[in-house]
Amino acid sequence: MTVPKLLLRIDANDPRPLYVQLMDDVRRAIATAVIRAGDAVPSIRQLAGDLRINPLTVKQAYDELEREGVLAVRRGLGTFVSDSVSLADARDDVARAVADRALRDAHRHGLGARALLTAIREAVLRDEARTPSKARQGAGR
Amino acid sequence: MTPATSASDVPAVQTVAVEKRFGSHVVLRGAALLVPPGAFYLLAGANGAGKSTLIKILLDLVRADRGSAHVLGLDSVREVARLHASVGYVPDSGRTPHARLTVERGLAFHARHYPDWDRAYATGLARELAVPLERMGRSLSQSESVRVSLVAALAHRPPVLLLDEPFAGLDPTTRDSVLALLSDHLAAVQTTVLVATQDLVTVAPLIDHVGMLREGTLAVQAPVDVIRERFKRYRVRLPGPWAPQRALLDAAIEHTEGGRESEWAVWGEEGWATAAFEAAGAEVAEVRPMSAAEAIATLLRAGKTLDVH
Repeated sequence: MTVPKLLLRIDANDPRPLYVQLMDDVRRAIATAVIRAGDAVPSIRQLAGDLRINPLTVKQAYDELEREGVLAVRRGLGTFVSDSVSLADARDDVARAVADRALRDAHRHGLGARALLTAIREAVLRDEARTPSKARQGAGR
Repeated sequence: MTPATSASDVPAVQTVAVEKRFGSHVVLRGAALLVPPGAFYLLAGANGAGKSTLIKILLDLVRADRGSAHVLGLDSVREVARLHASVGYVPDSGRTPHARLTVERGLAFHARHYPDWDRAYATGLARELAVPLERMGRSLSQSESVRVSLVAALAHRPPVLLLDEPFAGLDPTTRDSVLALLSDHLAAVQTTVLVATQDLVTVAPLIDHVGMLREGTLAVQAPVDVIRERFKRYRVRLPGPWAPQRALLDAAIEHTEGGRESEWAVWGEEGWATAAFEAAGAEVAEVRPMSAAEAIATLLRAGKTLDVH
């Protein structure tokens, strides 16, 4: 059996706990179709070794993702992306997380939600004017 | 990977009221170290704070003046032989035990004390860490000694690792190999690690508990999660004069000002701290959690003793 590898990123300076960073990055990998429903993810030991982190941290992230129904453990076989995971749901989850972060960041800069939304709409228009192909993408999901 | 319930009551490493002085210099005054089973515990503190002495007391390489020390429930003085068999130890600056043997023969000699020594694993470790097997022990550099010590500490797959500055003098590539080896050891063996190092950034991704030695006692001792939860930075604005309560000032570990705002690193529950700022007439603009390394570095700088329950 080939051992699956997955390029996950962690940043020791990020204030999020490492296991949360791992969870977010697994969700990102699903949302960008790097891994799909039914795909194997690396073993705890392998991922911990690759990232030079404590295996307990990987275990914590995998356990949480399993509880959320994102990952599923098949006894003796390994850990897999749940069959029930859909790309659309994963993208929605990631979009919500990005929105939460943006809103927090806006508050930090003394801005309200309305000011942020206006600025995002303007940014979208600027972006579409620069690269017309994005306008068509944006019309989809 | 929660530790077995029967074992979880017994701390993996513990010292009780340990005191040690060298001449008139008091190094430890009542140090109460407590490392839960399965923990990766960072023993932090300034140079000369007594980290190495405390670790040596655990192994009876230094005898405490008062108090007791246990590893896996084994008494450091009375049960030292059994205790040593369960421990992998990297001494400070990688002291080489067999100066007049080649590294290879020194390791073979060392291996005789450990029934569980895995020769193939030891060979693999030596290769991974580029250990110069043919060289004489006395001719090794600090980095080479540390690497030999790491092979000696890991090759019998002990359930407890006591690592005293295990990254000292290592180049970044070797340091990276050591981190990978430690991670792999943790995945393979139910291990408790106690590491003393100044290299906070290197170990931050591995540790889950931290203790800070200051003035001979553990000024702070807590799970990293608790520290991150209870210790945050608050950026506050002061619209007018303000009158913070004593409790808030006591909980403030660090504080800097700039423009019309100031930033406070406060030890305490977030709701309490926010309310305390607001009650004093300040406006909390941002609450920022810290990375493990930043939180620990800030506590080390501060020099306060914290009560953690």
